[in-house]
Amino acid sequence: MTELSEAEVARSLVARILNGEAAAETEMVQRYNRGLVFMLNHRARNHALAEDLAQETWRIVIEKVRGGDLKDPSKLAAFIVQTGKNQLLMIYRGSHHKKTTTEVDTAQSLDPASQPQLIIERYNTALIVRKLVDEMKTPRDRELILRFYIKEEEKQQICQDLGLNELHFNRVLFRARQRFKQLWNEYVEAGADP
Amino acid sequence: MKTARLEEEQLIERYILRQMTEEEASEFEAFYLSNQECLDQLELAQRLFQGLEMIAEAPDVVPEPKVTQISSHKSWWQRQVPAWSLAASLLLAILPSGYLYHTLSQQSFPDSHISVINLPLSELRGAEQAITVKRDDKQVILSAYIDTDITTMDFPLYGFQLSKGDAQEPVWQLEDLQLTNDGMLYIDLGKNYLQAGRYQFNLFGLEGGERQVLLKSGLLDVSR
Repeated sequence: MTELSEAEVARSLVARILNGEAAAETEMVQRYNRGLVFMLNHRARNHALAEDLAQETWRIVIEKVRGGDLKDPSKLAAFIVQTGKNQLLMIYRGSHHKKTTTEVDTAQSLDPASQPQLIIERYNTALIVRKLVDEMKTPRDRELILRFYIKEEEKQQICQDLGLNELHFNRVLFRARQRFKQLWNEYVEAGADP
Repeated sequence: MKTARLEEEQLIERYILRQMTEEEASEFEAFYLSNQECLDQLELAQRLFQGLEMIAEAPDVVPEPKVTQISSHKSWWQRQVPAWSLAASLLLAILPSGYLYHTLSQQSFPDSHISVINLPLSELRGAEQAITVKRDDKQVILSAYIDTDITTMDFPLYGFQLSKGDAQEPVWQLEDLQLTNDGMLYIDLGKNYLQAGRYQFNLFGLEGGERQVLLKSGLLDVSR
């Protein structure tokens, strides 16, 4: 069976919501929420705030879709992204609906990584990354990773300095991500310290 | 958007590193919103990036705060420290200041192995009501905010002691503690290591020549 394209799925979901099908709203949230929270977290650098804004985003999106305000249903994902970004903008402009929020509350809600378990998780992430970097066989690969991710140097410049072609560069990044994935999964599955 | 394009153009890395224009980022966000595979890669890359940032900021292993044995008998603190405990001890030094948190009172988070207890420094002696620590499987961390705008609170180093009963000598102490960039001190009491009982704690500032200035004292009740 051919998999439906994103545009087809979006059109179908919108049509069903317009038809009053509550299950379609649930499907929509299930389909896009993970991405929405990731996007908001990436932009806000605060997971708790991202979760909070995602809730508000869904309230607005559902209301608008039900009201037929979405002109091009195939662009549902873009519409959700834009609505989420608007919520974030309102936070930064201080005009979010939670007018009763005090300055202290706002500062706390914008404080990144305010939960100890998140701090521990990040610490463990650092240990795993340290292991990953230490495992890299060649100093050149280590240099590539650090220059690209940390110093944020251009790919072309790094390739030129290290005498690599782009294909090799891509492979090193890909391998690093895959190995990191493996180490991370081992850590999660073990439920223990890295 | 094809998977090959993700790799060729390093879209994931460029997004995580915030190297995209706003227009590019929005287009990419609309793409990954429902793409679980891409989200997997993004989450992985973000975690990798965070880890690299952290080891770049703290490239070497950071030593633990110095723990001094004072009492002669074998005590709970002589037990081997598990990696979890070590992690909490070190995270203050390894983490950027933005990751640090403020505690307003005792906080025990669900699904967390950590219980954070705040020591308010608003008054010198806080012994009217003892701080209660329940012994369970959680790791206990004391936190204190040091207002360095108050010159009498500003020291290059800080120390912490626990004494039991009427004993003059502390049974446990930490020295050479430094403030985080946010003016916080964190004291890791480990996980389930404190014997039940009542302790007196002293938090003090350290100047050159070992001079100690008491900043806070109080009682800590450890219950089963």
